[in-house]
Amino acid sequence: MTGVQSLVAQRRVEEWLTLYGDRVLRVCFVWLRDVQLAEDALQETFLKAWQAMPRYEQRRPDSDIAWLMRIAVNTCKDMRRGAWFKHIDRRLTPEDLPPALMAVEENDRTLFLTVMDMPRKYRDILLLYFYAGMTLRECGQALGVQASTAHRRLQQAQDHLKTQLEEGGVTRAQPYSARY
Amino acid sequence: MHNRIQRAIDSNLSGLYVTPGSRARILSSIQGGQPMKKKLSLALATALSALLVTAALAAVILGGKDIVDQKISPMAQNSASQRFTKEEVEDILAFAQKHGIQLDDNAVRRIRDQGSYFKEELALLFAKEQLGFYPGTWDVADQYWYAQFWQQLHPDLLVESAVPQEGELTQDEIEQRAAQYIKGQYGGPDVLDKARYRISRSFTEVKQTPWYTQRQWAMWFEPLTVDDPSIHMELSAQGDIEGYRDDREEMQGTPEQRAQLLLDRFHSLYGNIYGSQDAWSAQNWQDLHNRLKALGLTPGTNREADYILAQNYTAPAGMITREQAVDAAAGTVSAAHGVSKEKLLDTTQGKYPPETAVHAIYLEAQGQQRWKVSFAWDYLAEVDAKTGQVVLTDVFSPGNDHRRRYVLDILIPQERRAFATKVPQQEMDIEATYPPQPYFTEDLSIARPGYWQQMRDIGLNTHTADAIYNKLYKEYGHDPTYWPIVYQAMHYLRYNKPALGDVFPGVPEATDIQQDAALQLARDEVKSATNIYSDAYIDSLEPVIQFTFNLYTIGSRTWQIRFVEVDGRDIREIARVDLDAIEDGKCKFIRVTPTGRAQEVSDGILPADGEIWSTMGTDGRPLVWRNPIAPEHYWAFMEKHYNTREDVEKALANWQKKDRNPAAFYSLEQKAVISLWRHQDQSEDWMREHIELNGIPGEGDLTEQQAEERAWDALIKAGVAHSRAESEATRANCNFIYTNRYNGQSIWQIEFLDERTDYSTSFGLVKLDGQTGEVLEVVTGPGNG
Repeated sequence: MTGVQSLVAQRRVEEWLTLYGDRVLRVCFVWLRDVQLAEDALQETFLKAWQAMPRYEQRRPDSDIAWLMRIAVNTCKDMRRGAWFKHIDRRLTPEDLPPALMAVEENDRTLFLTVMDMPRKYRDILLLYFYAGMTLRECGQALGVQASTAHRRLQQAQDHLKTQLEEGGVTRAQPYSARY
Repeated sequence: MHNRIQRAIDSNLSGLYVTPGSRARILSSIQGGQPMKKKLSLALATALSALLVTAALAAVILGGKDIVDQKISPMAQNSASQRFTKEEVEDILAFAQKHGIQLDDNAVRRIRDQGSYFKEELALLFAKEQLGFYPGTWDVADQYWYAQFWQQLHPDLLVESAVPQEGELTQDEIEQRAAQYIKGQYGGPDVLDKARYRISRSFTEVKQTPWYTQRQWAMWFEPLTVDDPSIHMELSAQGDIEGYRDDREEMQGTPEQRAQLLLDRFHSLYGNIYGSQDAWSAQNWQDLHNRLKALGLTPGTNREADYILAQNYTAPAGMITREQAVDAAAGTVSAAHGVSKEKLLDTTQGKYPPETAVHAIYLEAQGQQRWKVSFAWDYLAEVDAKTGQVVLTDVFSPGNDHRRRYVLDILIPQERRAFATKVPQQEMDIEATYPPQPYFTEDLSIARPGYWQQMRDIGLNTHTADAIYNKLYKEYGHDPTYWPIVYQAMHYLRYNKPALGDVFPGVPEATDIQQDAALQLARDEVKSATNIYSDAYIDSLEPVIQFTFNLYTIGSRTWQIRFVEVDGRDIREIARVDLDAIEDGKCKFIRVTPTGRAQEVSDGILPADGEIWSTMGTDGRPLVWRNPIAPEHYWAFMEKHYNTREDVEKALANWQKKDRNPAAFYSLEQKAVISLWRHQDQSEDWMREHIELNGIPGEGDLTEQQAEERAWDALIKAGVAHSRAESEATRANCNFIYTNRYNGQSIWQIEFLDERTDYSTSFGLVKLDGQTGEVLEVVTGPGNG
């Protein structure tokens, strides 16, 4: 990259960090289930994005976030294949989550944990489609399947999620009364 | 669904965001074009668990552990640096060699090449030399030993390891228990057979709240064959099964499910052996190909399977050898990309271990017979296996399909192999390069100087945050709700930038009522507000204390004190009190929940079953009977229908059987009966002064529906609600109460509970004059704590 190109690329990455950083980080966390690994993956994702900027300029993908997410997904995949990763228990309980800043409603907590506990192929498509905001075609590219497969998988994932929630995921809160 | 999932992820992970420090590190790595040194993850620390150091063993046999204990550990504490110097490294290696302990040649070469070496990584290499490659498979005693070493180097680190104590099961017993459970479940495999399963384990001690620390085993039984299931379990320290999961269902699932499982299993099996798919043998690939083929998978359902099914991996006779292919590829890559051939082939100098630096795999698809060669994940080449001609070279990039190193380019869509960037080589020490940054900037418009002074005094910045947080986790648990208020305020400020008028955690001013006094006042308020619980019981409750700015009005400072009953991991709120910190602790809100374990009841007639009943008079009816606080029509109704305890017991049993409503939504009649017969458990004198009874509206009183509508209008007026239609998302907890607290003799007290949270939160509570409907009070604080 020339000096000017480098400056432009850097500005763009800064802008992306502001716009998409949190979302990329959270996606990495969902994939890797570890805050530090997720932060490593975030760093690597943006570094790769910056390095690949000349290609980005040439190709100008439709969606910046989708392009970033694809790099993030590949980064997470590589990290997930690491030997260490396979020897650490990755199931999440509410206590494992980073301390939340916002009040988390019980239904949101249940939905989140249910999604996290879903089979990987369902979880991934839900995450990319509903959270990362990718199109089915982009989801397919990121997951290594065709768009039609991604579509089918998304439908299955939604059915699965519905069943899981209906089967008793939702924890009932204690009723209360001001006087009772 | 879009919004629900987004909201669920964003709210649950709201604590996870790009911090200023993280942003600075990313941008600096971009400016330098260099990745930063990744320290060993905290996850590693938490995965390293329990048991006792086998000191006797260490004294007799000198292995890698002893090198750590006797040499590395003392030396590591001699300096604050994260790394050993080159001289220190040489000293350690010489010491080890002198005692007959030697790391493998490649490891030693790598260590020496780096010049200096991270202390914990060098220790880990020696530990692995004795205990095995994967720390998860070490005995928990050894995991604990290493965790302790690590904590010596980093005292601020949160290591949640534990050792089984007396009364808890040992590692062997836990594994036997788990194996028995698996066997009992479905006649499952013998997971203790080392030829079939690799066992990873951890034993952790995690402080959840100030009152509860969870001690738990996590076990992973990883099959060493393709056909056995993978099993995860969690067990309590006493061996209770707390979690179980296996993949048997997927093993019997659709071809797509089985294909994915097969791929995962192969990755797991051979990844552990070879580290990277590049290094799998041709037999491994061919075996996977054959198994996938047998599934009859529909093409297009799994890209990875499609690739594997499209390729053959067995080279026929007459092809060039792997070595010839690598040599030819190195020559062409060198010429095309300006990197020396020697460097490409020198596997001792690269950033990856030698065994994963250069790969070559024979692939055959669509009439092409080629060797795919990759160099340290940086460069790729395809070599015609018949002629030895290099037909393609490229720079491998992170944006590429990650399988490109072992799939022919002809099978990969163009856009999945289009990005080409170099991977940077060097490392930098970010801690040394970047000074600490604070997480907040002071703004006197949102809080007074005293608040900012206290925040400054904590000393939170990008360098100290881990240590401060780990200390809080250790002392108070992971939930900030239970931290001292000054740290609750710090935690909020770390992740938020409050604006003028925002409701957020704060600290009291010097002139405010202070915590001890507030706590005492709050307890007194609860005691005087309830006739359900004894004073001794209230004294026994644990306080959960918060301090909030702007809760009731802008500029207000409020103590929010909850009293909870703690039973192990269960925490149940019994009462909540909000006190005005500025106005000498004036009570702004109080709620008592009657679900607690009552400690004492009255001296009156006790029901035989030990449940709580009102204090009874000599006629067997509540002492409060015929008190003039309630009108004649109420007493006439009670005398007609609920005149004896027998009547009431029958009614209660009947309601319990038929009515599954939460207590908040009982009918007015039900509430009146329970209030009269079950909740009036105070002395006669007390009752004379403070009596309150749930009643039944009579002639001239506002009806329940009228009261509900007026109460909702009051919430709209208060700005909590916007329209009547909104009330559809709520359910009203209505109480018609006879009381002396207001001018009239009866009031309506109506609280609107949010259906979306299963009534665990409240829109607000409104009190109205029972006859005129005049609004007496509107409380709009957050519901249910």
